[in-house]
Amino acid sequence: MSELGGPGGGMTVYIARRLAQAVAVVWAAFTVTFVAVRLLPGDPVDLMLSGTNGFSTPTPEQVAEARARFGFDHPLVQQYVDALLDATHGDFGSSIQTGRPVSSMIAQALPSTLRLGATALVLALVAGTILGLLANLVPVAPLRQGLRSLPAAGISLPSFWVGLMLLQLLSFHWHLFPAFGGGGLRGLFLPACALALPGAALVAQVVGKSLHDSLRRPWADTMRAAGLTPRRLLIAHGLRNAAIPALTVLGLLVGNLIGGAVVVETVFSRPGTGLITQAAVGAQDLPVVQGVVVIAAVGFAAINLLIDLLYPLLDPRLRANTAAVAR
Amino acid sequence: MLAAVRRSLPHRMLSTTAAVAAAAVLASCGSSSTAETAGTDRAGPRSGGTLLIAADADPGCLDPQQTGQLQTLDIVRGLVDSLTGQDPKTGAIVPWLAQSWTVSPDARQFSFVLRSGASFSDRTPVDGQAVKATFDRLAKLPPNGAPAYIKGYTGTAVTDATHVTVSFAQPNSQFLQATSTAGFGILSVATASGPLAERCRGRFVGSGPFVLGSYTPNQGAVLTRRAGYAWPSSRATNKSVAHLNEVRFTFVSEDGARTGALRSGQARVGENIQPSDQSQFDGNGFQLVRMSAPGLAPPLSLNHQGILADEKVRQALLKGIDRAALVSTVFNSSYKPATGVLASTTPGYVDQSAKLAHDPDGAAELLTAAGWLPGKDGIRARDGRRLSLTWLIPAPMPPADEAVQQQLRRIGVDVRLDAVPPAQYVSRQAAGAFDISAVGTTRADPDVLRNIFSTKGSNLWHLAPSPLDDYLQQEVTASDTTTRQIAVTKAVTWILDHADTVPLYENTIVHGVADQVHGLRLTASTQLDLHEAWLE
Repeated sequence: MSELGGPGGGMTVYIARRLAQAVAVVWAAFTVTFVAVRLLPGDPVDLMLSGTNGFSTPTPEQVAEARARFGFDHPLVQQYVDALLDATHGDFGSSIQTGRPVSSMIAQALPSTLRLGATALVLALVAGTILGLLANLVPVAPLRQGLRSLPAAGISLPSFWVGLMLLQLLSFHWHLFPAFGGGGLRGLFLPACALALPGAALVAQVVGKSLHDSLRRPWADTMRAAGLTPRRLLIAHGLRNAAIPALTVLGLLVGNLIGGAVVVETVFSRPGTGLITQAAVGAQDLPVVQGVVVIAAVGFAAINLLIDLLYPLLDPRLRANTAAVAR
Repeated sequence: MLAAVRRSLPHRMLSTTAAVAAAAVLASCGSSSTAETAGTDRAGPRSGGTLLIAADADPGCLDPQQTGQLQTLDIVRGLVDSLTGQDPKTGAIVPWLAQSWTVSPDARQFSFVLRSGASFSDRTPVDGQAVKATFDRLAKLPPNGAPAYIKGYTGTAVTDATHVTVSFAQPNSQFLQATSTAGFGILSVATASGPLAERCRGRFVGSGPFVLGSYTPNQGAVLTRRAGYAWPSSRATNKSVAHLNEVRFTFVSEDGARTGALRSGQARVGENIQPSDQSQFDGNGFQLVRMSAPGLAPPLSLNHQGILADEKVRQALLKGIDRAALVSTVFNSSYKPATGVLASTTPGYVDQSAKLAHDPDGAAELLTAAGWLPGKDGIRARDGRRLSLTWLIPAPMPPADEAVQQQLRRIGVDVRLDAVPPAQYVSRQAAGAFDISAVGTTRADPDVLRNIFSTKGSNLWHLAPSPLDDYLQQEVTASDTTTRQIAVTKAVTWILDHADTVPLYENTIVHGVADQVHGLRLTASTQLDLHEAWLE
């Protein structure tokens, strides 16, 4: 992610290379999923035809018809090429379990997950940064120490437990928020909090550490000598320095959110891509798994591409280096 | 039909606030130990209102012909009517869309006389053509759910609008009960030819007291009352439109969230409340609507190949289980130990509790006689091979499984719990790569025996052909109740005498219901009967 530029022509080449890498990531995710789900023992078509007890026996014709419908009667290589070509048009086929087109399943579920993920991301960044700042600003040493160890505790709390606790207290006990229903800001708050918690802890840790280090740099001494208060020093200069590692963490954070959504959407009964993923993996619903993995990979690659492009903007030194290497 | 026999246990009744109310419930439940009705009708049903139900899962498909999932059937039961209904207490088949019927002496032809005046929600009449179209399509679908019960279908002859005859290539006495289920609900002629994926999304037309307002996958389904409905089954107390304006199902798969939603009033009905949470809804403004699920009592299903080909080892497993301890450890008083191959609420049930006594000494003797001698670690062994059995489980693993494992360890049998994803489970079970699986089926008809134990079907547990096949054949050939009961009794006796399965407990459907909800009953097949329900 921090690899810079390459031989060729300036920023354009830098961007082009990053873009190519992003495409490669998505392709690799597609291919690995394609291979992995087929290596699993078990047959999704049998499951669909026989039910979970597995004691209904379909006729060989019914099995053959179902296999043909999903293209499973073709050689693997042809299945792969067909699936890849279709996927480039956003067509992932139909769910084996329900017969619904995967693209429409995802299109219906994605807005809910995006809202949840975006809210959680903002919450994580804001809460994490504030906590990181406080851990360096609070004048009482034991309190400062306590604030510094909070992130470690936050990361180790499983989000299903956090979600259930939030539900118990804020929804079932105090009736402040609905337990389910998906829509509306009020319905979004609790799941976003549960999803944001590990991320907020991660950001707090990185920002806190980075600010802490900033204050020991020679430039900080210079600033202090010039009469800057610690608070101004941290907020005006330290935060900007902490932004670079925070940005790096952001890329990881998006990956965590995609995974965390599976758990949080289950706990809060939200109709998003996480729920679809959970059901599809259990039933080995290949087209659906393929679809959600590719969409997740696209989101992950896009965010990291954006972050790579932001580095030079945030840090003038990186900008100069990029240009120099490119020249 | 065969009579359902119920155990008369002391009443662990719904603790309603008023003693009068409690008495009324007692009266309506008769001698049954399970409460199938919530609420009491003091002032008579009130019309209107929206019933909020927290359901435990999105079934993924709402078409009753394509899936046998209980979550689908709970929603669909309000949307479609069936030819017949079934009395949950006696198991008797009663008129619904069909006002009468006759079964041919060889149990191959079923003639129905339809009532007139019933219509689908698209205004087309419920007639012989619709019955034919419904069954014609059903017979062509993969046997996952309802289609399994129409095997051997040769066609429906429509004499006129109200007379139809359904024929089979072989005797099929279980068909009459099948016609009472939601999976055999009569659909409009246009629906029958509709694309299957569309039907999964709820695009089908029935004649029930509700119509589907909306279905949002992974979120919920809304049913709205149908105006002009007037053709419920003959056992209905409500003879006209549903009392409720609307029913909203929300899919809440997390058990704790479902429980909390019910307790905090965000739902009025919480489906499938877990044993550990049930006590908080037994009173305190709530009631538990519970019913012992009819069908095959959840068992250890034994693969008759490998170690379990030896009948002595199978007998030892049968004796090694302490069913009362199992139920009290893992469940609570809503659940009962198995007392036979069939659950006690199944028509044709035979009390076999004498054959299901816990007898660890007897089990030890049998294992010793079979050559399995106690080893150093407490697990028996023969010729250097440990008595180790693989139990194939579709994930997630139910808590009862570990309790069973511990019980069998005490008689020196090592059970390896192998929980795998459902798709893998189906393939491995089909390939015979297991010693034990656990397949119980919910159906209010003793024909569930044939699905599992006949060597002429899929025979997933590799039973050897035996007189049991003949008994099961007699069961499905019998056109009268007495002959059928004789065959069923012979079959279940043979099954336990040869330890072909190890019944464990009776599965109980337990829904939590707020006291504001009245008249909510369960059908013979354990579905919610929303037509009778009303809100205070």
